[in-house]
Amino acid sequence: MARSAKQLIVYAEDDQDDIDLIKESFENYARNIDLVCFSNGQSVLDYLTSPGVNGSPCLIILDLNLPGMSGSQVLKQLRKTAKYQHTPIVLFTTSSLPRDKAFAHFYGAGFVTKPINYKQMDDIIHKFVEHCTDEVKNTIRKELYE
Amino acid sequence: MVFVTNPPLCQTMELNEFERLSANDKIDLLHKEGVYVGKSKIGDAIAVLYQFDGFYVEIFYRKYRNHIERINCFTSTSGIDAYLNGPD
Repeated sequence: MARSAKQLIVYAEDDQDDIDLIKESFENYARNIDLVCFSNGQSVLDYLTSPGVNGSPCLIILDLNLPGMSGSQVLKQLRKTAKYQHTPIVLFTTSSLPRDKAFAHFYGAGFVTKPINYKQMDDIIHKFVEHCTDEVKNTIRKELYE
Repeated sequence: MVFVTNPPLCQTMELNEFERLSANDKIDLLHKEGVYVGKSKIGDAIAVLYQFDGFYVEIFYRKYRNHIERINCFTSTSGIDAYLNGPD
């Protein structure tokens, strides 16, 4: 049976240690998901809004404090773009402040505080995947338990 | 007559109370309510610093955000300079 096309997750993060951590954590899902990383807000926005991008990512993960354009500014811009009005977006940050959570909620985004240990990391990767569409989740579950 | 007083709305935790918690409880509390201060790297070793109520909690990693080597708590601000690069 032909495998369905890989899903795309876009991750904007300026901290190389966090990029390495997320890349490693998504390795279990590599058969189904391509993770594409950007190191600043403007570059991820340029990529997502360029006419050459085919389809939509199943999930966009934004660090809150990116150099130049912040993750919150990128989120606002994406929500103004018709293509990304309903795309799952998660703010991934060291912050646990209620005002940051409220901001994410206002713009229809998830809010995930960066983990401190492996158990939280595991939970967070599952939370990320839960933000994907049912089709993606079902494919992943099927692959993991095959 | 018995006077019943309501507990304060915002409970704060003392350093010695925090230190008596299990490692898992410390981590969960920091994740929910700690304020990230910064990250420090010495060679391959990484430590992160959180502020929690009136004290600081330093987490030294064997593997970043995965395996914790040890947790150190202190109140003095003299130990925070290495971490002051802003939040991520």
